[in-house]
Amino acid sequence: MKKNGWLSKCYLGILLFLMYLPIAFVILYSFNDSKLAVSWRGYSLRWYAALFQNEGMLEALKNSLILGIASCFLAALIGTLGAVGLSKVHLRSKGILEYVALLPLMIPEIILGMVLLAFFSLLQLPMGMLTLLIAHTVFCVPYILMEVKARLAGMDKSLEEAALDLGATPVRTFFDITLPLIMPAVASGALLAFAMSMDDVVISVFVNGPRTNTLPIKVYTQLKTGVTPEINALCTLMLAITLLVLLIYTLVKKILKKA
Amino acid sequence: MGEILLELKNVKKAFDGVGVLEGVSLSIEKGEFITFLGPSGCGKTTTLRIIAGLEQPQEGQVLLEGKDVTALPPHQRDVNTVFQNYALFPHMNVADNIGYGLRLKKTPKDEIRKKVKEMLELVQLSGYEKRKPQELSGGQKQRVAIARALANNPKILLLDEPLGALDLQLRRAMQLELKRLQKKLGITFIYITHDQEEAINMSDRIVVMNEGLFEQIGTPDEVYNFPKSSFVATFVGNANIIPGVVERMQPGQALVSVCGGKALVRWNGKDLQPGEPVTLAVRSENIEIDENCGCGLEALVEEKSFSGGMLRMTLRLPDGQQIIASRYGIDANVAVGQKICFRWSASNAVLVDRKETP
Repeated sequence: MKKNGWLSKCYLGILLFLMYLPIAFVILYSFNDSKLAVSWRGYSLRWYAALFQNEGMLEALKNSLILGIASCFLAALIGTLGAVGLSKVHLRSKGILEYVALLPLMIPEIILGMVLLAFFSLLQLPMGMLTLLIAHTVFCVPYILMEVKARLAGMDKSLEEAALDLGATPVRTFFDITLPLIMPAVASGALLAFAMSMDDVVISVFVNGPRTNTLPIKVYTQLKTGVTPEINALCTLMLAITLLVLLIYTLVKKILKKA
Repeated sequence: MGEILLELKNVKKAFDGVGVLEGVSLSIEKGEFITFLGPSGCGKTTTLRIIAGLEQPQEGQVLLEGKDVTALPPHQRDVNTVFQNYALFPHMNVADNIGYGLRLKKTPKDEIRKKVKEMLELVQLSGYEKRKPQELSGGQKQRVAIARALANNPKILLLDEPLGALDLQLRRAMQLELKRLQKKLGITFIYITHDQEEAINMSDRIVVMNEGLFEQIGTPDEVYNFPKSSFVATFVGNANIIPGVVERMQPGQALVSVCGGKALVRWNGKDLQPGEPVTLAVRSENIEIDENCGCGLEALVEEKSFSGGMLRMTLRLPDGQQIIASRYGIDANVAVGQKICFRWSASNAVLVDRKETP
């Protein structure tokens, strides 16, 4: 037993080491003073400085942030209303409806990207921020829908009935009772959606305009022309942001469990 | 008293084609404590939800103070509900829960605070304003739910098995308290329970429900002592249901042949025809047992059990019928397998399941 425990710990150690080694390298070399990735020449923040002077990169970051925030807000609105609506209707086709609503999660991204591209060209929408926003909202809605639906399913229906009974109109009931109770689910779904929007490449590539770049696309295209330590710095920053979002997500989930 | 507050007129409700209420009618007077008593699934909660407006009947009318409110949504009715699982808003404290209805009516803040305090005093929870529902015990939640419903000064308070989740001792205490509250406030209470003791203890009138119909409406005494149907007799009084055939009439009673013998049953209705089949209800505590088998109907003691201070005996008749008899104390004179005789006095037997009323 004891020997087994030692072996499995070793295995886990090697696995984690191999998994995180590249990431550790990226973080470490983002502080490397050398222009060449192979040699170490001591600590420096010059690549971070360079990154913040790279206007193309900053523009892409700005686009990504605007896109992430806007699409996750829009998706939160649509997803929440959708989930509440679904919980209220009693249709035989409800199962199919829910399935369809969650479909964007299951369709391969590349197909979703192609479909959106075809759709936008059909409408003759110019590719750019608008098309990106619509596309991101489309694949963000299911995350929020899923979270809110689960929360609503666990919610006591008699709470809403009690509010109606005490004299609240259905609209008032929604804002006074339903919304506060599902808010943690909306927030955690929105955070998840934000994270998804921030690192999407495949769908974005199809629908971005000639002059609008998101951060992941910018990184991807830069990599083709060779890795600069700037990218390392960027990756490190994005990793930090992702961890932060993840942390908030976990905290929100914890609060949700307590309530 | 005497003023009619609520009327149900031939109310019918079905869920997905399955009938839950098969056409019920009832008038409730102002200040009454009325209980809907019945087994689970008999439609009592549905009736309550229709009165509250949370459910729409397919047919029939609900009249509140003579006005048709059948189509009125719940928030426009002067009726408030205490839900089975309390349904306190978890994100609001006790004071906000109780004051919610008043806030909706745009009552000034000072007034709300005063009313909340008053309500908490009424349910004996003074000083609990800032507590969250999660920090309260079951009994306390119950009190808050009642206070919240009463804060709106409803014309009718609907209570859906409000004591169902509480333990026996607390339930008894809350029964008395609810009755006290109702007397003090003079508000009409419509109460739902499946517990006959609770119904008998608290109600002015009991509506016994079964399979979507009102089997009998009457005072606790009427329902207990003069059951109209075998269902009411068994559900409210744990009575034995015994089939028989009329032999002949006597003043105020009828001689009936039952269980291979003859017995008397109280009857004040119009004369019954000899040979007419009838159904008798006799409560188990009214079955008298004669160990020495002097007179009465013969039976074998099949089983004995002791519970709640009562000895319960299962008697098996020669024709296979089963009769339950009970009496206070442990009786050592009767052994399992012994042949005994039993009888009842005419005033303790009722004829049930009859079309006409006696």
